[in-house]
Amino acid sequence: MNEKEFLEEIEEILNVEESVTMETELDNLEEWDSLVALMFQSFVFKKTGKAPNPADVGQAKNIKDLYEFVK
Amino acid sequence: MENYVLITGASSGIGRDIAVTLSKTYPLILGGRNVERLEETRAMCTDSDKHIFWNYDLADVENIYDNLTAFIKNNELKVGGFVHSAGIWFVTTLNLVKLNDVQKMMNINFLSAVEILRSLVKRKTNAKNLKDVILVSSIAPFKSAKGEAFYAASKAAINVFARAMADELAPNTRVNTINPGIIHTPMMDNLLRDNEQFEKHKRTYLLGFGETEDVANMAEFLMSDKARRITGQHFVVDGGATIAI
Repeated sequence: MNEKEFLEEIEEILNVEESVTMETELDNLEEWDSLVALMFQSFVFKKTGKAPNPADVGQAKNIKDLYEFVK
Repeated sequence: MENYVLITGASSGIGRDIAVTLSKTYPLILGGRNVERLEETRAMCTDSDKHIFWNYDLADVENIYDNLTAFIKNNELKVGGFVHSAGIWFVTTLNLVKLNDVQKMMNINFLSAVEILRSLVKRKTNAKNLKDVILVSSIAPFKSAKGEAFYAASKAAINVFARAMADELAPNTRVNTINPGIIHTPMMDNLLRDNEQFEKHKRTYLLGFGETEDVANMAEFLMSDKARRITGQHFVVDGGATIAI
């Protein structure tokens, strides 16, 4: 999955009004909450067949960090 | 621009009366299959030229999301309220049931509401405009009646969905159901022509059978700021039928 495809997917998961970039900080996104983090983990599992450690997902600071889980 | 209220099933019965009542306060998107009947509803509304149509057959549940999303974007609409009043009803026993009929009922009564709501909460389509959702359910999930198992199941799905959505969409959007008992509509009046049915129901409807305006009045309240602290609830409007012995 390339960066463009990932950004499209993550915008769907986040249900954001405005577009995000790889540099967007998760702390600045009101949409990034525990339920969305869970949806993201399901997404990673579906794409990679591997369940990410929730604590590792919790450590992510920006969109680029999330991309690392599916790269 | 004022925010619209989308009403499904606006071409007849309860949906039509909700439209007429809410038109006093909001511009409406009148949802229905039959344009002529939607025109009749619009003519009954206050400020009839303010209201527009979403002409769609909800039985085609697979395409609701794309169709509605395009409709909102193309017309640059803001949708602040959603009333799901579309529904079908039929009586059948387990012995005679046809799976296709049940699937159609689940599609129109329940899954169409899911797909509409999915479109309305998508922020790239409708920002955070959606504030109030009213799903018209029934007392069928609260009372057992022979032949109504599948209708009751479709309405029970609406009830459970409403509660979960009230949680998931808070604090931006309130979600409630209205659960009417028997209301005088052409469909129900037909049922009540049967003497046995009439006598059976007459005993338990302590305040008599309802009128469509009884449901519309509840919808008007729930859509207003007077109900601003109310979400995830089921409002029974049944003339006492669920509590009568």
